[in-house]
Amino acid sequence: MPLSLDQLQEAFAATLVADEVPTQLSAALIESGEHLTARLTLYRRNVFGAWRQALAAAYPVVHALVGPECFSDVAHHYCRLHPSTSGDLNQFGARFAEVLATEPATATLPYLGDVAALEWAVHRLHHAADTPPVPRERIAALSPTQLLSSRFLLHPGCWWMASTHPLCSIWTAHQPDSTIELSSIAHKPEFALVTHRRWRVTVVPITSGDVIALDALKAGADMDRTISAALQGDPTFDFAKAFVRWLDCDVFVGVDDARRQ
Amino acid sequence: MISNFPNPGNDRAVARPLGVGIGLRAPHYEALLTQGCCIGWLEAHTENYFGEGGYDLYVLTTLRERHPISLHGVGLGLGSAKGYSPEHITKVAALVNRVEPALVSEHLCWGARDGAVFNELLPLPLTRETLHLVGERVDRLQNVLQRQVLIENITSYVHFRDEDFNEPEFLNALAAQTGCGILLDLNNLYVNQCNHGTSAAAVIDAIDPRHVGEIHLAGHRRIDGIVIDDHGAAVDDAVWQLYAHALQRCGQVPTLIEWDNQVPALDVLKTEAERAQHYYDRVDQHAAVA
Repeated sequence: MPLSLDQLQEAFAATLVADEVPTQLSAALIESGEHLTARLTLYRRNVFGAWRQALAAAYPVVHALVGPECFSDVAHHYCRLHPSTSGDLNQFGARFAEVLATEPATATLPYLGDVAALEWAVHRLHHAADTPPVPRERIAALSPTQLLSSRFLLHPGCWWMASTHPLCSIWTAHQPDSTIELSSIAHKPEFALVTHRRWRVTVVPITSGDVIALDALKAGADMDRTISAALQGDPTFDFAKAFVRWLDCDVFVGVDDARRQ
Repeated sequence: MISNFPNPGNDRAVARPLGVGIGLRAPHYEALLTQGCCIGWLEAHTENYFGEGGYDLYVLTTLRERHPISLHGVGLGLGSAKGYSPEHITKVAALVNRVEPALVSEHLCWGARDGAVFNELLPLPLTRETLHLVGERVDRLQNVLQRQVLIENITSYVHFRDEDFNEPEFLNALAAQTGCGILLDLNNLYVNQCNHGTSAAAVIDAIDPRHVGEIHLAGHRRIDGIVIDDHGAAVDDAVWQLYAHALQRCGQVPTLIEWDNQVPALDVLKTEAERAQHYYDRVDQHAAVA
């Protein structure tokens, strides 16, 4: 009795994720012996190759930091833990940072998890909606009182992080036009903002005050409360500089003056 | 009737047939945007443009103003018994609405099982059960998109014992049943001939030429005694011969130069496309279809 399509695919799927060949599968195929082993190995290599390539495309800096062999090993481990769940490979690899942070093979590079988290934010932003920024005139027209009472809506793809490692410098050193030498980077905490402007994703160094402020803005605080929170956590926070930095990165996609409601 | 759905690219009455196109790949974005070049049409991998926005989608929607676009899906897995994704179809439909492509295509394969997706074109046993399943899926896809889709033959590195059809019989039946077209990949036929001995020319002769809506040409390589369709080289001479043969039978069918790995400079692709155009132009369209 021939297998149903469902049974055949169940057996085929099993051989793709394990190195064994279910007997129902080998009985259903014309190829046999070493020949069959070679052909199924080819499928396994193709499947893993596409996954590894997708990870390497999303995490080019991690790839450069650990080298191709180590990356391949970690990718293998990742694929077993979190196999692809979408026909769109751009969705694959969301939990790579988590796995890197616990991977013994990369334990000597403690910043890898943060680098991977940043790279995933960059990757996601590459395909995020092109929501236009709030026009500068709209912001310039706000009086200081209005500005303080306004809530600013952040671009949904914006991402920021307080890292205990020199996260921005490491990422920047690996960009094609970089002049930073990896060996010259000082070991200090850095704060990173990932955003995009006219489809170009950028990583911008920010301050710890920016991180507190962006967290507050995301939670829906108006600008007055946002500034207070930032100053409380980081007395050196310079709102004027930070605000210009955010505007230059097209961080805001909406603004509403609460008093007009 | 060949199809209930409109398909500009497959309509032989269109005054300007599509001719020869090339795959749209990221390394060529800048060159394609800045050069006003003479490429007939561009084929994009559907899933690469699933994002809500971003540079890739900007490039595609900009280029669609200058070139006819074909959307070629690699992730739907029409033959997956369990694990077929309605969300994937929704995304395809959204992109088709946005881009209004000249051609839409997918593969005769499966690729997912119970939520695990293999992102690979896996082979299907060509049985009545498979025809029934894939037929239903193609029907539904064409109904959602309100247009004809083309279904491509794949390479297969293993072969099933119990089958009810050979490949051309299956594709002809699928096309007759659903009104879909056939995307005939000549490199895949040649790779299957090398690996399994199935005569590529015999497959071409057995395919109903009225259903063929597109032809793919690509390169391959040989590793450890197996020929792999890696789309990483120039089109092989044997495949050019098959192309001449297919054009004789099918007439002037839109043809794509596919190059996915070790993508060369755009000029190399243009040279391949010019070579294909040379074959294409020599065909007497009316004689061939009749």
